[in-house]
Amino acid sequence: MPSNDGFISITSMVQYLFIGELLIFSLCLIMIQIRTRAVYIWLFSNVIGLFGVFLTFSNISTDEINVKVIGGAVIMLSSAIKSFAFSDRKISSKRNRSPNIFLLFGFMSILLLVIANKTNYILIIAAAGSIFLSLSAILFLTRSRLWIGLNAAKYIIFLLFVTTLPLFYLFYMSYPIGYLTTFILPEKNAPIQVIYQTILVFLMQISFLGLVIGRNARENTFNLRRSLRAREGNIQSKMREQESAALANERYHLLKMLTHEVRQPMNSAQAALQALSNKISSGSETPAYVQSTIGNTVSTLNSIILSISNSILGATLITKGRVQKLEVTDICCIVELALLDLDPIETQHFEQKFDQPVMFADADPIILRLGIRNLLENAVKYSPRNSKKFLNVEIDDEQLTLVISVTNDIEGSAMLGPDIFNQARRGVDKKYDGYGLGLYIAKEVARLHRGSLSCYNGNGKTVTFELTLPA
Amino acid sequence: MTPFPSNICIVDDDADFAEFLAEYLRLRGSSCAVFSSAEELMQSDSIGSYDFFIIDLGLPGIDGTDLTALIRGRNTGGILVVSGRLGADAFNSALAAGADMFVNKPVRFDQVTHAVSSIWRRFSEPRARTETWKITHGFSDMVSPTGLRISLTPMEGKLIRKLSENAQTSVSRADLAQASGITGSVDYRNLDATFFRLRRKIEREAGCPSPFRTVHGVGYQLSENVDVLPKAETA
Repeated sequence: MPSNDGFISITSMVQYLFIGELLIFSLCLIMIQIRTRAVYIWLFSNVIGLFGVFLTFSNISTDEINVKVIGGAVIMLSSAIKSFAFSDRKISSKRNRSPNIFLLFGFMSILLLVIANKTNYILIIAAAGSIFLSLSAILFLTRSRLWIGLNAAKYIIFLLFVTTLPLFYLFYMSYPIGYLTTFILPEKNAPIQVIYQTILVFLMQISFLGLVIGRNARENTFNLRRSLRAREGNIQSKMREQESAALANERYHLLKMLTHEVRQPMNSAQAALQALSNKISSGSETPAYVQSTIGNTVSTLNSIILSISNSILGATLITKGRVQKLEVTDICCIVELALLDLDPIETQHFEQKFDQPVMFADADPIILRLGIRNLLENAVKYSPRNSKKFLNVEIDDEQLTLVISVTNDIEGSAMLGPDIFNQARRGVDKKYDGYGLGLYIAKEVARLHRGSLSCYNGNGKTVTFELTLPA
Repeated sequence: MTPFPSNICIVDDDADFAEFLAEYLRLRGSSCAVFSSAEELMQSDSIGSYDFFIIDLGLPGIDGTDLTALIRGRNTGGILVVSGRLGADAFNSALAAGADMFVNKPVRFDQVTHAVSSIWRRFSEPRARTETWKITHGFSDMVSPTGLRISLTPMEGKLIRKLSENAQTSVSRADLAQASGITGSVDYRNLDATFFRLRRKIEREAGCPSPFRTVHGVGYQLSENVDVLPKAETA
């Protein structure tokens, strides 16, 4: 606003500064390329503010309209819009009720200001309206979740307080209505007021930049974290998928073993019983024949039971991995039970030697019985028919374990490879049916009891399997 | 002939198995009663009259585990659970209810009698169940629930004293080593060896498990009540 003597007044200079400020910060906001709702609203309000400042510059005043006051109203409108920039998207939610009410009062004041722009009430209206708008902005800022914990939000709230305090003074000064009649303070205070405003607006614009950038940085962190988590979840689910595929595969193999080991003996047992039935109906059976057929069938049933038990335990081991709870168990009793699991004819070929008649250790009686039975069946299977076998339970004072050992003669040492404890490994194929789940089960049983299973070759003539249990 | 219970009760809903088993046991000289359900046994009102029970877990109506607990409440006789139900939880719940042993089906009769007699060896005396372990005042002897006396070395006595002073919690190897004065190795091998030998001695002389157990990775803990006898009763 050019002054009379050709120099621009301080007030006008500061007002130009004010306009420059708005323009520069708006440009800054555009340059940082953060495209959020808050930024768009802020830019829009800056444009409105510029328009308002221009209006306050103009000297066009008619009898009906004081354009400076209209300019003031437009500037207030721009502040009202800035309140929206601070609010979150859910403007109608319950937590935004009180700021909305203040905002409504603010809008009403602006409207009153426009209507009553020539009256003496403008200052009181303007002061009250500005207070309402500041309060609404503060409340929006504190209630929106977008700005929680951002320092810039605290600066803005502080600035809004600083802006609002002189307004109360203004409000008080305008009490005797008509004492001050224009929106802008009396000429002598004008430069101070404008400088004050300019500085506040400057700080406010900077703080908003800080607010938007802070929010943006935090969002980036969130996104990064989210994508990391998603990737982690992805990897985990892929691993689970692989695990369950492996499990399914193992179960399938067990099932295959089971069918193979069970189908054949079932078939022979059925055939034997059918032959017996035929003989009985034709009256040609002899007691010896009946006896041997029944004996064979019982032995077949025994082997089927072992196969099924192994497969069930195998499947359980695969699924569960370990036994949850071991109980104090008499190992001698379990060993004897396992020995009785064999065909009665085979049982008598075993020579038992126990260091003590009772020995206790923490064990799962079912699983341990099956593990020992597998060792015994293994001894029966790989030794010459009717040869003597040894079953010992010994106290190992050195290792502090109980040792269950099974020793038998062997016909050749070829079968003792290093991988005999693996699933489906059988030293001498073809000659023996089955897939060799037994030693694998025995090994797992030892592991479940925190023990071990090992095997020793005695001069190529005998083999000893030792299952140790901590006791 | 090995000692064997004379009055056995079989509860199993598999009628064939139960009847054949009863026949087999009768041939061995024991009298045998067969019930097909827990309710039937309870109606007969004869729980107190048997000295041994063979129970199936999967019973209609009242479950075998509950029946086991019920019998244990009224009778100190042996209880053998014979069940087709597999899995650690089945056997754990049966043992927790008070069964002495768990044998899974399929099982042969000679195996059942073997299990029965091995339980009977330990519990033929009713006091085996009602009495607790005792230890003399000077920690020089332990007395098993069946009244068998096991003499302790001074070192074993110190270990048992330490365990019984902390009856409810596990005692670390370090504390036990300090209390007993067993030193010599970082991994407490000598201490473990002492406990190992004491266990074997108790089994050998008392025929029952020792009243303490290993807490893996920590140390040892009493697993049963051990009462310290007052000074007068030491002799």
